[in-house]
Amino acid sequence: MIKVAALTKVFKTFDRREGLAGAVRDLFSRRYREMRAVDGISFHIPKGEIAGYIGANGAGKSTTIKMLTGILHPTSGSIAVAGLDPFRERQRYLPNIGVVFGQRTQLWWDLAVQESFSLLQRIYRIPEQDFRRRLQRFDEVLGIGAFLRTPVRKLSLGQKMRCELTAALLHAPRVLYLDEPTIGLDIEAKVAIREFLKTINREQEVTVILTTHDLKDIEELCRRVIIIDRGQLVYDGALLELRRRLGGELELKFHLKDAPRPEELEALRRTFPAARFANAESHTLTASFPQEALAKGEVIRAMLERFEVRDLSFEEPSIEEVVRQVYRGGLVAAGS
Amino acid sequence: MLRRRDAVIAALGLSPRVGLAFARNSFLRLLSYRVRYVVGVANYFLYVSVHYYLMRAVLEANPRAVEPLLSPADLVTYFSVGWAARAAYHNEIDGRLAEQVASGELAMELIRPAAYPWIKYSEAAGESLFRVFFMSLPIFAVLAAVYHPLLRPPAGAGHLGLSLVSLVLAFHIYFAVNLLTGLIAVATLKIQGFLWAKFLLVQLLSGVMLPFAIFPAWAQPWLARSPFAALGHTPVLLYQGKLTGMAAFEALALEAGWTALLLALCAWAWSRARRHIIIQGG
Repeated sequence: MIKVAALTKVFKTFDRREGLAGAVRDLFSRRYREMRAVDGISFHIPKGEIAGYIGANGAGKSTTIKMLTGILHPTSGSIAVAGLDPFRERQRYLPNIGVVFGQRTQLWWDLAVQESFSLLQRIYRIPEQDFRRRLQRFDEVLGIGAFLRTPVRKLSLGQKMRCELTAALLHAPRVLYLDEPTIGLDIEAKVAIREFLKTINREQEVTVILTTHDLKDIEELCRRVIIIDRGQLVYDGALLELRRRLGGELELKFHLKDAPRPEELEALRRTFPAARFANAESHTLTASFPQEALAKGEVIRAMLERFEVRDLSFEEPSIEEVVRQVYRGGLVAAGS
Repeated sequence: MLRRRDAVIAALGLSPRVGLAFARNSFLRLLSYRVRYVVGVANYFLYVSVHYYLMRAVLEANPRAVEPLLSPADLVTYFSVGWAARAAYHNEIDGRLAEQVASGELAMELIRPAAYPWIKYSEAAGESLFRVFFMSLPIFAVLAAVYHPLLRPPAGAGHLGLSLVSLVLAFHIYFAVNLLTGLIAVATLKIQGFLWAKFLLVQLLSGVMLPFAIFPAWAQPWLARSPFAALGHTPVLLYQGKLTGMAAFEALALEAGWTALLLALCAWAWSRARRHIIIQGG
């Protein structure tokens, strides 16, 4: 559905010289510097997939989204979404997509939400029946009915985002671009929006590209992640695979009835040489090991056989930790 | 044939129905600001009065200069019609476009499935329709009441008609000038200086500040030929019946020519500017 090949965007920025003398010199001759915001990115996203597009601030996420939505003109490379070039075939392309920029609004600030929706109905020529049906469906999932008569400027951030999503989806687009849709929202609103996205992805088979800094969004919604850093693609593949490859350590924590004796610990270490066992507090024992080295079940079974275990908890490497590792350069070769 | 025309319109993003939606929307939004509207009407009354008394003072100090052309009644009528016309076609799309570029809000306009200049045109048309009914006509009524014997009616129904045709063309010229000024923001990001320059040029060259009769004789024919003449001079003279017959048609034809040229320039400038857009603020 979305095909991107060697996509590049170069911005020319001008470096200011320092001080008064420098500022005067800037008046006459400027020094320009080229900034490669997006640098030769390629990927392919099939129909109906939700892909997470992540990277640090300034990595080039938003620039990519703006090229995909036909707002920015790519310096080089090509984009084909549903077979159309977003920039050149803009008019035919735009009815096929929905866009939400978390920090902006596409609703009309001084009009009631309902007015904005009916304007969108006219702009996209949505038949009355479809319009009613979709609005009703979005109300069921997002509960927007309560503030349809409120002017947009009086909505809370969470209410506004629900309306933005509705606005982006009223014309039943085939592709939905979400640039930080959960930014600044409270947990309740975030959960509602994630549920909504899952629902519409399932019901309408809409293809979604999502950028976010909230990795919980990614974990909940995306099986596929694309990570970019300084304009370049550093990872493209399954979220699970990413977690597995970077691993991080799995940590099992056991609360024991009796404190383990040193010889028992020694025996454990001999049985599982790949794991580290720590006995920081007398009644707790933690086992840490790389996830691919051992099966959790094995360790747990051994522990249950040897000790009286009262409680057990385990921590998987968080996606945050994994992504931090990627940013730090932990992933050498990009997979695909 | 009809289908091909529809396809062309769709490809260019010039759908009349979409345009109508934006025009209606712009009309509705203006209705929601009552105070701004009342202040606007009061301001136009002040513009006319200030210009009228200034000009009368100038002429009384030097009566022989242009007295026969500009009696007090001529002056009141001139400024009243001129400013009522301005109240009708005025919009601030240039400043708004610059704001949208500076804040990055332009991104949200660019995801609409219609050509950006067409959206702006439709919005400006909606705004002007609002302004005709809720500003120009009330302003004119207030002026007529205050300056009763001086403010003259149109020279005739035909003259009024031609004046209105000229006003419709003036709307297009003003729209194009504003859009072109606003597009400078795509290159420079800030255009406050350009906005002032444009404002002063329009004030001076349209004749709403000073009637062309005040200018040196050699300058007058050139002023009348500039596109800015459509924004004051031409519609007022048509209303007053000072521009008739062949001269009237020539003036209107010239306005129509400028309109076509400037609108074409807008389309060209937009297609160029589009490639250079950057969106500030993420």
